[in-house]
Amino acid sequence: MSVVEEVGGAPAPRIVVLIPAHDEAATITATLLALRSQTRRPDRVVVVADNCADDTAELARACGAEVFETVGNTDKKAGALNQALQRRFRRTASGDRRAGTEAPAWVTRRGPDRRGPQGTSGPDLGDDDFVLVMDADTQLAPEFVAAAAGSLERSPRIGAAGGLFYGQTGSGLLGQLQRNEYTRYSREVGRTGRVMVLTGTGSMFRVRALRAVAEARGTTLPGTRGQVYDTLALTEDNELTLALKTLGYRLTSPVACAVVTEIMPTWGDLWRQRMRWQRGALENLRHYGWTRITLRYWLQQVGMALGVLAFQAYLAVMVLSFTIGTGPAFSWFWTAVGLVFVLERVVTVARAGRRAQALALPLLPEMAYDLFLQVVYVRSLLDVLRRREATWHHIAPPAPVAA
Amino acid sequence: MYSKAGYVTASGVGGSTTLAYTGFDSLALVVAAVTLLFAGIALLKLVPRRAR
Repeated sequence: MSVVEEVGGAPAPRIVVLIPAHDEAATITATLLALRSQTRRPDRVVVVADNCADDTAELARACGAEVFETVGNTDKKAGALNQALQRRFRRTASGDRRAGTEAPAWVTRRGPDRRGPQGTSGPDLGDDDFVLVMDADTQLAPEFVAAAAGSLERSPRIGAAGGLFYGQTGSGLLGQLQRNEYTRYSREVGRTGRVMVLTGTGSMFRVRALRAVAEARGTTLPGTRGQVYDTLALTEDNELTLALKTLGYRLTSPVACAVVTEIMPTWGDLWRQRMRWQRGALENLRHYGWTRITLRYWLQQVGMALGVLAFQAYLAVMVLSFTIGTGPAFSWFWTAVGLVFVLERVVTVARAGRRAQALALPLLPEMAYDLFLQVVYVRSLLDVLRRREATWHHIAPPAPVAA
Repeated sequence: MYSKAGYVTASGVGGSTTLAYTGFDSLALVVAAVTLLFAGIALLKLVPRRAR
């Protein structure tokens, strides 16, 4: 879409894709090629190469993407995105593009990073434009950009459209357990329309909303004034979700905004990933405190804590029934109750296919997975209370298979 | 995404209710009550709530 194309007399919003990438040579080409199949093509694709020791940047350029290489970034993904948003784009108003592609005189230039690539219309970014932030190892559904942009265009009150994520294939039983979990989560978001987090795997933002966040940091919101992302947050996407909600923006997750993202190949990787997620979620809440916006998040945490207690009580009763008594007695009533759970488990992963349902049917494998997640929850809670330092965990993607 | 253990736990608690111990001690009663609560939540999840 041309930058001067207009819809209903107003310039059509431009769509810029930002892809933070740290040593993603194995996946960046596939990710960029998949973007070409979008039914609504983005206007610019910028790969934010962050401390890459491989040829991520070269591969991205070979695919026709712009590349922004971070300088001295020590704040991981959030820091990389902040650099890109601050240094790569000039600020313009929507009307500026009507007069042409030259930036107005009031726009400040702060360094060489603001130069646009040759042959493009210039590196401006208006308040009414959209920015899609997506992971370098994530594939978007072909309708993602169109659906996300369409939802943002429906109302200026909508600050962002988040993706619904699904897991990549592979990794055996552990992979299927994660895919089942992701499928249920996405189903629940699609069913209720309640967006709890704008996933970092793929979410589109209204630039005006991001700038409002940057301006509110240090006062209304945690973080450093002028930065979109809070670099101290372990889960920067969850934090940004809270920030946008706190500023009064509505969020949406259209069903068509599906993304397929990586899953953890080993239990150790999963442990580290979930420790970061859970720890990050708890710390985000601690920073935001008890507000009307965070109420549901706090209740969710309380529900999880009660769930842990209930599960442990259940296990205790089962052990006691076998050790003290003769085991649980058969009951038609409790059998019927049990079948409700079987039904819920199987139906809620229907979208993921028969393998997913076959894994859900016997209940016990997913119960063991639940127990694992509960251990993560308890451990991360203890770490937050003890203020132990948390760490990031980067999975090196497997090398691409030669054709 | 970052707080899913609640969902899975909800099903996990009652997941093997066919095996549930329905004895007379208070712990079993609490477990039975929670199981019924989560069964209700599970039923709600099966109901489509929003057309998009």
